[in-house]
This record gives sequence, C-alpha cells and structure tokens, in this order.
Amino acid sequence: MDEADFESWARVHHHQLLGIARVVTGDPTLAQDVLQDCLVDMFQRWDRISGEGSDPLAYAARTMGSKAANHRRTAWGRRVHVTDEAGLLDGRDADSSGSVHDRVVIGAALRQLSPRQRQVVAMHYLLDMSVAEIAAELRRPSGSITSDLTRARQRLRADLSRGGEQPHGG
Amino acid sequence: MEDDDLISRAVRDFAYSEPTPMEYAAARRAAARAERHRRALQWATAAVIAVIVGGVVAWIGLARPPAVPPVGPTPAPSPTAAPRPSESSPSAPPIDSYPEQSRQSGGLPTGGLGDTVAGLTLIDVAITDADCPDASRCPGAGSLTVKNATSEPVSAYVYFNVFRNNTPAVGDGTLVELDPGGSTTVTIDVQPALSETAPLGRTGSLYSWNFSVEIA
Repeated sequence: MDEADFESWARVHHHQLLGIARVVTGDPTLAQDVLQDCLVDMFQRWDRISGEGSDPLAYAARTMGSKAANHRRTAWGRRVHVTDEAGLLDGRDADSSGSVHDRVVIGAALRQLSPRQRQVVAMHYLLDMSVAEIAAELRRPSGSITSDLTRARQRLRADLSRGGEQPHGG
Repeated sequence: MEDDDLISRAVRDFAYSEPTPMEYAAARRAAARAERHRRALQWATAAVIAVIVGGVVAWIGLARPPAVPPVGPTPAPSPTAAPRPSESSPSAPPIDSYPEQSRQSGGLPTGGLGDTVAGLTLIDVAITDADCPDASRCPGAGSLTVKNATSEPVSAYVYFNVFRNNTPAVGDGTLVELDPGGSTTVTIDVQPALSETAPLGRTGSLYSWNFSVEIA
C-alpha cells in the first residue's frame, strides 16, 4: 500500500470530499464524521480503489452513503441536546446577501431526502456522473437511479422556489 | 434545464461553501427534531408491546380453568349396591366408583358412600379436582362426613384413599372422635402427593376412591 499516495490524494481532494459528505448527510457536522469514517475505509482498500479504471471519488461517494446510513442507525440511542447559548437558532447571524439563507433552505431540503437520494444527488451534481455511471458504481438498476434523481429534483426544486419567496437576510 | 442548473448551483454552493453557525444550528435543530420523533416512536412501540403482552397474559389467565373447582358429592356405590347417578358436572373427574379389587392393604376394612366401616357411616362426600401431569383431572381433596352408628363413643382415623387405574395411589387420614349418633366432616388433602405419582405424558387415567377406618 502506498501510504504517501493516499495521503496526497486525500489532501488534494479534501475540499471536494467534504462537499460530497455534506450533500450525502445534509448535515455539516455529521459530514465530518462520515468523511473520517470514509477515509479510514478507503485507506484500508487504497490499493484496489486506486487501481486502473476505478474512480476513488465515486467510491468515496458510495462509501459515504453507507456510512451516513450507519450513523443514522446508530443515532437511535443518542441524545441530542440543543442549546441556544449563542443565539443561533433565531437566525440573528443571518447574512444580508441571502446566500446563507439559500444554503439553509437547500440543507433542509436535502435532509428531507432519503440517504439514497442524497447519495445520487451528490454523485450527479458534484461528480458530474451520468445515471448509467451512478448505476454502475452503486450496482443498482438505472431505472431506480433515475427515479431517485427525479424525486430528489422535484423536492429540491419545490423547496428552493418556496425558500426563494421568503425575504433574505435578517 | 434551467431548473437543473439552479439545483446544481444550489447543491454546489451548499457543498463547497464554509458552513455558517446558522447552518450548523439548522442541522442541529433538525437532528433534535428527528431524535424527538425517534424517542416518541420508541415509547409508542413499547406501549404497543406492553398492551399486547398484557392482553395475552390476561387472555391466558381467563382461559385457564380454576385450579380446584368444587365438585359435588360423588356417589360411590357399595360393592352390593347399584351405582347411583352422578351429581357432578360432565367435566367432573372420573371418580365414579371405588374398586373392590383394590382394597387397602393392612387389613383395614373399606367402603363407599352409605357404607359403615368400623362403626362409622359415610353419609356424604365431596371431592374437589385438580390438574395432574397425566393431562387428566384428578382428585384434589375429599371432604368426608361420617356418623357414629354405634352406641359407644368412637375414636378413629378416617382415611381417604385414591386409586389410579385400580391401583392404590395415595391415601391419608385424620383423627375423629364422635359420641354415639354424632357426625363430623373431615377434609383430607391428597395433593400434591397424587400429582407427584402421576405418570408423565400418559392420558386418560381412571381415578377412583374409597374410605377406610382405623380405630385409634
């Protein structure tokens, strides 16, 4: 195993990997955990992943999907306590440009999708993969990928248009 | 296609922009909401399971017959008399006669309802039944009412003996002291001794009884 090769690849693609993790989870905090789990998994299989004809980023997106689902399952026994010490929940730090508002809207819309739909969205919009490529990578029928992508688009489009009607900024 | 570009830009912006505290807060709030839903689902599931288990337990409790239902006086024909019709319900144990061929050993005289043994007449009998491991109902206890038929005071042990398939199973006695013409009722329990001697897995045993008297 070429450890230096893996480290170099991870460093170069860290920003992109974190972005995929954010979309796959819909949660910027959970994304960091999922990315770490994914990198550990990839490090152990790097020889095979980095071989000819394979796409490590596509593999990462596939792995993150299952890791995110695992996090969701193991979260069953967790207790989440929300505090508002920083006054964040009332949106006092919202910017006036509206981009943060849009990201909050798209984040909420992504969280409404199923993990499989988020995974397909990430692969299609962030890695520019076609339906056929996603189907091959996930070993699923093309029809089910198309169905997931269509439903996800409908949901995101509806939520974005609803969110766009709201006044930006605070 | 324009919509697709819009979605693409929004997804990329969400993925690659540095999240602000507001986005973290929104995600935390969603996670907390999901956690509340999960907890509510847990409680609802536990409640449904508790109701089902309670219902099953209650159903089992109601469906099970009482352990010792009372059985009315069971006629026990004497060896010379014709059997009397049974007064017990159809589900009563098959205690319908006492077997002449199964007299207790030890030389004790024995008898059934209406018989006089050693000066004591059995004028009434009531037998309760119980569950036995051989999957049949079997005697639980016998309440014997005896009367002193002599002109002398009698002090004796009255025994209630139970037979399974015409073979002695258990018997137990109690002391009675009666003036001439006096009567008394004694209840003699044959459980759990009788259940412990029942053969496991066998069904359809025939139970019978008699009473015997031993002068004290």
